[in-house]
Amino acid sequence: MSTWRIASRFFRHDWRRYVAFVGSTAFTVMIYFLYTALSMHPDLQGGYPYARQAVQGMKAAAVVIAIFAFLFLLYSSSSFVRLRMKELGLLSLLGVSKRQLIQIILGENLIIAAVSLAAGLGVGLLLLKLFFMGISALLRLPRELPFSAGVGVWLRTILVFGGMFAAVSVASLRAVLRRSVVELVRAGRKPKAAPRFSAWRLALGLLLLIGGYLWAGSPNPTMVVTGVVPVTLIVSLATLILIREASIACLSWLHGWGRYYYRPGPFLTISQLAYKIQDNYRVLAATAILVAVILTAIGTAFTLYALSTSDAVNTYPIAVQLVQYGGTDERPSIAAVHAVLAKHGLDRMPRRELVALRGRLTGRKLDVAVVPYSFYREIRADGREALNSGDDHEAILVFPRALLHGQRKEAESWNDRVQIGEEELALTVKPDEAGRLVNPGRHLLYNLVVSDVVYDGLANRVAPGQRIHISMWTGDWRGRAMQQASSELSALFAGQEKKLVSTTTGQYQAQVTQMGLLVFIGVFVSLVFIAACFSLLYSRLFTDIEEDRRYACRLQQVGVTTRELRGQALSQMAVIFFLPFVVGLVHSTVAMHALGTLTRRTVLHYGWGAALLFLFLFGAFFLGTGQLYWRALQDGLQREARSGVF
Amino acid sequence: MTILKASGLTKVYGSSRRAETRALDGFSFEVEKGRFVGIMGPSGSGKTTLLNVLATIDAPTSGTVLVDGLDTSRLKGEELALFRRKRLGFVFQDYNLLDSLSIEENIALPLVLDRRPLTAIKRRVEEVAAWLGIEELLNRFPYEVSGGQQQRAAIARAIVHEPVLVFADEPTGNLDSRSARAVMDAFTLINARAGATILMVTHDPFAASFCQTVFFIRDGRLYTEIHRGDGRQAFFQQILDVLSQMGGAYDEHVADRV
Ligand SMILES: Nc1ncnc2c1ncn2[C@@H]1O[C@H](COP(=O)(O)OP(=O)(O)OP(=O)(O)O)[C@@H](O)[C@H]1O
Ligand SMILES: [Mg+2]
Repeated sequence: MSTWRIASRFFRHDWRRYVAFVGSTAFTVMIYFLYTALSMHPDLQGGYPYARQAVQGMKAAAVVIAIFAFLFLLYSSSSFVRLRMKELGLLSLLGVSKRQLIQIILGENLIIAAVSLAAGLGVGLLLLKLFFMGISALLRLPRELPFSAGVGVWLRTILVFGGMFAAVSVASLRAVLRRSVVELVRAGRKPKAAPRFSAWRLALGLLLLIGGYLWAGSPNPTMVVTGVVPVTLIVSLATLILIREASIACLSWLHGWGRYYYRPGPFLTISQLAYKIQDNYRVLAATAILVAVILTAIGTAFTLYALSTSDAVNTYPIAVQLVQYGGTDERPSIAAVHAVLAKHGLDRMPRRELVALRGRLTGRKLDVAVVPYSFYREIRADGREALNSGDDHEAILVFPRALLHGQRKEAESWNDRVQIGEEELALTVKPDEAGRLVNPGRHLLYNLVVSDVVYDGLANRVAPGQRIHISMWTGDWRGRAMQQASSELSALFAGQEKKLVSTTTGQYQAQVTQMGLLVFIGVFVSLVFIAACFSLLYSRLFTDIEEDRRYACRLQQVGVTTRELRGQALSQMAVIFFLPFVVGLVHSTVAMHALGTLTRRTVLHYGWGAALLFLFLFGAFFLGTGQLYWRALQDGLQREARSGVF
Repeated sequence: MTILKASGLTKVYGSSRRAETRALDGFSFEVEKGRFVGIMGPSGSGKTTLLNVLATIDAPTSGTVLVDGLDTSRLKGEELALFRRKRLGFVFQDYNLLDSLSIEENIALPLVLDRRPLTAIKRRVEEVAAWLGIEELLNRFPYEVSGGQQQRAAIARAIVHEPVLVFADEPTGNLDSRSARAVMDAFTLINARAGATILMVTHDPFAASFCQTVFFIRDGRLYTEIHRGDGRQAFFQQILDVLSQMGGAYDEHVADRV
């Protein structure tokens, strides 16, 4: 028999094992190809506004994908080789030479590499147009990106993955050649010790987990920010320890609970499951961590998207705002804005004028815009709490609210001095963190509210250069007319440093674009992780199938019915699938809680939304794989049954 | 009372005319309740096929099997599996214990599948294990005990639920002569103590000499049957005589075995 025939026989014997491996590798190739094609697109090398960031993001994502793909390939192929140790050992026992053995392994790897590359590149090419369309829409490029995939893109993808495949083949060759024939034949046939858990490792794992969770759950934003990397490491380690120890402890406890355990379902499942978890806990832990990363990444992207868009109105509370610095005549610019608004039918928006004074809070070392109390009252009248302070010696400092901000708690009030030009005043300052009064701009971030009397006095004395003239049009900021007006306005004042126009709509648009891109990249990278996650679970399942068949066959011989067998196999599989999911979900919930601390909002539902989405994917995958697995198990059983029981 | 009755059993393998094997050819016999019965015959004579058909694992091409008066060909699918696990017990050449369960749990398996209450299960398992001298091993796992001990555990499992019939195919096939003797003693004991009806296929005249009746099968037909009189030694000699009468590959086999 030629080596070629031997290799192809292996393939036909258990094609299901190859499917996941080739499928997920092809998928990774495809994603890498798409990202590379985009980042090397000639049109993007020029300068669209957000394109540069996008290209940077894509390049970073491509590197992450490449590294991840390499680790994934390495792992999959090593478990692949372990699977076939016995077959290869038998072959060499039957007189197949070392050279032929090498040929078989290399041949097989070559085929897998070729098929994965071809499939990945083929599908990638088909999807490229769609991908470009999506990206163009997201980046709001003036012209859709034309279809383009130069030689460089192909070459890079093939070189990167070809190199990986070569490295992985060498690794698997080494693994096989290092072992003697006897070791090969015996591989995986050692009797396994009964799974036991160690109490101190369980305690250590719990301690690490609780420590990590407490750190991440700290109400102090600074703690949360410094904790990101260490907590991730600590919790990953805890997962690795606990997924084995805690599961086995749990199963042992169920085992000891006679009344529950001595029933058909638990009896057949629990001990078998303990062995499975003992054998596979590394994969389960890796999957759990992957799930946590995926859920957190998608949840965070959604959160930032949702918050930053809803936050547009908080960061830019004034629908249209024109700011003019210095003492020039403000009327022509106001008229120009009015004309644009009128052109779009928006001339009935109420307008309010305000002169803010540039000052400095010397105690706090902050540049502030001084505004009168009557203005503050007016703004805060619409529902938000207003600090009551019409007193001449008191002032209110209005803080801007940022989306992610590790802010310390402000004091009730403090004594400070404000300097405006030559003037200096001593004041008692109270903080107001209920949101901005005006859109941000130079000197406008922090607003100091003083009594009208004090304000009037100052306003009369300061030099014109200290005055900031603000014109505000308030009202509904949504709608197409507003959008068009907004872009016309920003074009009108482009390049004029002393006259600034800002609109809520404009801010909203910018956020949608930037965050949309973030979500897009996040979801795409997550897709690769998801594929890897599924592939890990899938290949684990089919790695053990011989053993499962033996187990199922024995059960059948003592009279376990097909239905019971199916229930047993599927419930066991369900635990292997959903245990990592649940663990990952708990981790990501803690992570989302931490994100909530940073955003000072409840964002858990975004994480759970992502989880629900993922649960559907996971469920569908479970059902599909469950079918395949059960059929594969039955195939083997029927083979056994045909040869009789005795 | 007849517990097992086979009449006109025929089993033909391979449907096309050119590759037809008649593994059973009109085989008929009856087994009385509480008997310990052996089945012997040359290799390829149809012993395994017979056991598979009797145990409802395989359907005969024609003929009927009555177990405790019930025609087993009437049973379908799930019913068949349930019948097999409630009414029959099996002992296999390779013991067939589940590696992930302790010896105790392995023995308890049929009772658990039958949803018996926990206390009844525990009591019954201890009782049976005590008969077979494996009560010390209950908490060990299959890979922690010897082959003979595993086979005795398998026998315990086969009778724990008081089946009407216990089938065994070459139960001593993987064992050395000392372990084989312990296993045969165990069979004899459960036959006497629990009144279990046992049907055992074996190549081994020594093992067969523990039976009360031995049926001989050749070319799928009943060749003859002999009954044990007084001593086991005499019965052993009788078996050897029939085997040499039947001829074939038996002589050499026996020669190097005894
Ligand atoms: N599944 C099958 N398909 C076709 N022929 C079969 C099948 N099983 C058994 N046979 C044939 O039927 C005949 C009887 O086989 P069986 O296994 O019953 O013999 P046996 O007495 O158990 O032999 P041994 O002592 O070697 O175990 C043999 O000729 C065998 O080749
Ligand atoms: Mg046989």
